[in-house]
Amino acid sequence: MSLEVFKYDNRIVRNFAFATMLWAIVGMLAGVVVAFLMAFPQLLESIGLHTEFTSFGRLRPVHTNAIIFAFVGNGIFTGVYYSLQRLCKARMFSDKLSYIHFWGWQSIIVLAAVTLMMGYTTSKEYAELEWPIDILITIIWVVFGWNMFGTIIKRRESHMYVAIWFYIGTFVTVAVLHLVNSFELPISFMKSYSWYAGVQDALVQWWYGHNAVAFFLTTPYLGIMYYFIPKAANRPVYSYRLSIIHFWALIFIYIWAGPHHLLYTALPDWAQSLGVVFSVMLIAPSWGGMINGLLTLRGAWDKVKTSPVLKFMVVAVTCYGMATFEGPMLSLKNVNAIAHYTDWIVAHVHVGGLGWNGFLTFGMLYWLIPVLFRTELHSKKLANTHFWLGTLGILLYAIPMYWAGFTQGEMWKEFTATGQLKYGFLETVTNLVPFYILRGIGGLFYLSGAIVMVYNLIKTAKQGSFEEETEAQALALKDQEEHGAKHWHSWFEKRPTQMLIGSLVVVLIGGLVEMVPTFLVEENVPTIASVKPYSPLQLEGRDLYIKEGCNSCHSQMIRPFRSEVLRYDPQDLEYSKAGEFVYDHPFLWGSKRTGPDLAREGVTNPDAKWHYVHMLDPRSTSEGSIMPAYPWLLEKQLDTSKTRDKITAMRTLGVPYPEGFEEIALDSLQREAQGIANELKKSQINTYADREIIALIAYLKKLGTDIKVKDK
Amino acid sequence: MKKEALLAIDNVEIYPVISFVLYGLFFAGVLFYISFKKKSTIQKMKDLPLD
Ligand code: HEC
Repeated sequence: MSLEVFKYDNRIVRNFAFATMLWAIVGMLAGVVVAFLMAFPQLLESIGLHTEFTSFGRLRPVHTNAIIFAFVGNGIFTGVYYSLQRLCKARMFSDKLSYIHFWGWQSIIVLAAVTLMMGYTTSKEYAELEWPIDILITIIWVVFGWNMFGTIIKRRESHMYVAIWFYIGTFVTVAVLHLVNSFELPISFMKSYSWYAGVQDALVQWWYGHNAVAFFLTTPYLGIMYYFIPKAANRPVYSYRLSIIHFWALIFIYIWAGPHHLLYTALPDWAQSLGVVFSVMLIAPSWGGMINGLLTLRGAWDKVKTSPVLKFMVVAVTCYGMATFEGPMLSLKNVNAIAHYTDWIVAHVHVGGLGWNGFLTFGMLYWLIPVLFRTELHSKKLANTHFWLGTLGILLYAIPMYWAGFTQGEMWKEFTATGQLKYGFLETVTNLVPFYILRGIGGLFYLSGAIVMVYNLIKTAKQGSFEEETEAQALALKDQEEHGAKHWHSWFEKRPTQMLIGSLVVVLIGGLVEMVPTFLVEENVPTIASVKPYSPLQLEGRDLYIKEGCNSCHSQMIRPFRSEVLRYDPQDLEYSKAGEFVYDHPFLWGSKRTGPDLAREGVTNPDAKWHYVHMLDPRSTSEGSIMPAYPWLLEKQLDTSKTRDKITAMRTLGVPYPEGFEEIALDSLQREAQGIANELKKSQINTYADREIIALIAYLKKLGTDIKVKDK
Repeated sequence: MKKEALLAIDNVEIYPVISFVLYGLFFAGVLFYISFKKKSTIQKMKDLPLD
């Protein structure tokens, strides 16, 4: 028996930590910009920056992706690379893999930002990146997992601390989620169609979307919480037993809750109910975790008062508690009926994002950088300033958004004494502008806090000296065998592979039971006979709608409420049916109604001229509108080089275009385009038939018209 | 619409039931597992980050 001497690699931790800070600023800045665009849609026009690359629909995914995958992603890796080595008493498995992981991830982020601004997007929220980048993500994720498992396997500590469980659960589940949701058929480099259509696509997407929150924003951060709070407070976690329950209950329940994003939609009722019940159950493990985190600090509250690190962590855990209380509430159907599609949801995610992820990351960084650089924090005062700027930022963000969401949700549903809708849609929007301004200011506060932090930590790094490697020693694992390895219940803590398979099984059960029935239905979806595939021009128009991110502001899903059918389908009072979406690869139901629902736009508003003028300048037709202008659509020529391939691809996916249709697709496209150009001409608008706007109008005119044919 | 289509699959209501039974069993398993852990092991695990 001899002690082995080895070194922890701190360079990779430092690199991820600085990447976290860089992307924090970038992601939050993008957030502040989109926030102000919602209040002042012409903001960028006034400084000459309103281009197609910087319009709201394209910048919004830049913000969400930058925060989730760049800021929080790098935060996760910072925490994992630091804590895993220490908990395993081993250096990372391979420095080379660490290096590939780091640079691979940063390249993905840069590619993501560039391609999203160029309009390459699948339209699926938090999975917008196109297929070549999806493949890159898969490769880099495997590199990360390989490196992590290599380290766990060569560890010198027989027990795996609960933080490692959370990391393993994260790795496995994110891999499954990414693979399943990214099933798409490439048409060309950077363009693909989702394999699934309509209801199924929606179910898969929100199974993914919900669990991206669970397994990217939550479980890895819980691992970080379980490591760094004890570390920073210098006392062990309150209850280790509770942390085990927290882990298993959380990964088991989370995976079922996705359908709560689709309440009152065309998703089958039983799936909706399942989502509701499991969502409500989620509160138990989540609160168990929160209490566990907070009670770890029992008897140390005097420390909390003086330590910025602990202050940030306490607020983070509290926000985790608030967000996980609110989540189940929002899953109740009667609450959801008001909150869904409004800014209430935006407030909810930001309590999680700004409070839980943001503040926990800040706490971790304030603790980590001085340790890595063997020095004290440059300025505690600045850290406290950051704390207050951040806290104020959260409040200024969340309160107006709750208010806005609640107000708008109610206004949508209000009737006059004679049974008419009380408010036009636009009225409910202009009413929100002051709230949007306040929210933007809240964002500015939060962002300036983060800038103060970056300054403070760079100063700290400069005044210290970086420790590239930390020396440590421990017995080799084989020399420790006799200690307690025989107890059957140590089975999991000691066997990473079993842990991996265990989490995989738990997660797959949830995924399968939820999805299999919905996929079985495929043959049974009653195809509404009158619902026809998109014409080539409409299909191109739909792709423009996706490219411009119109779905980030517009839903296409009329829920079965009187207030909604009356607003969006006043003629026939029909809500949206599953059969209407069978050719929708991908589905475009949307999740936010900043603008009105467009599911029946072709019925309620078929006027080509109106759309033409509206797209050029929304405020000319709709006073006070906050929709961006799209002047480039009027100028750019429609790219029809892929039309043929698109038709063929859609047929592969099961859309019943007749054999040989791709050959005449371009003729059909030109004929339809000419028709719309002629219609515009009659209204004194002279344009060429080959412009993008024509295709977009064709798509808008088609929306919701098929189902009407049948009724007549 | 969709709901009728689902009813056409035999016994669709069995799926939610399966999920609850699975969860119940699973949760009981976890409880059983942790309640039989030795205090000393728990303490050892707890102290891991502080080593
Ligand atoms: C920032 C959010 C936002 C984005 C992005 C956005 N819209 Fe809008 N849209 C609105 C708002 C708000 C309204 C309501 C006021 C108005 O008519 O302009 C609206 C209204 C509309 C209407 C009129 C609906 C009706 O019948 O009253 C159409 C059509 C429309 N948008 C299409 C689009 C298309 C197509 C895109 C993408 C190219 C798009 N919108 C992008 C916010 C947005």
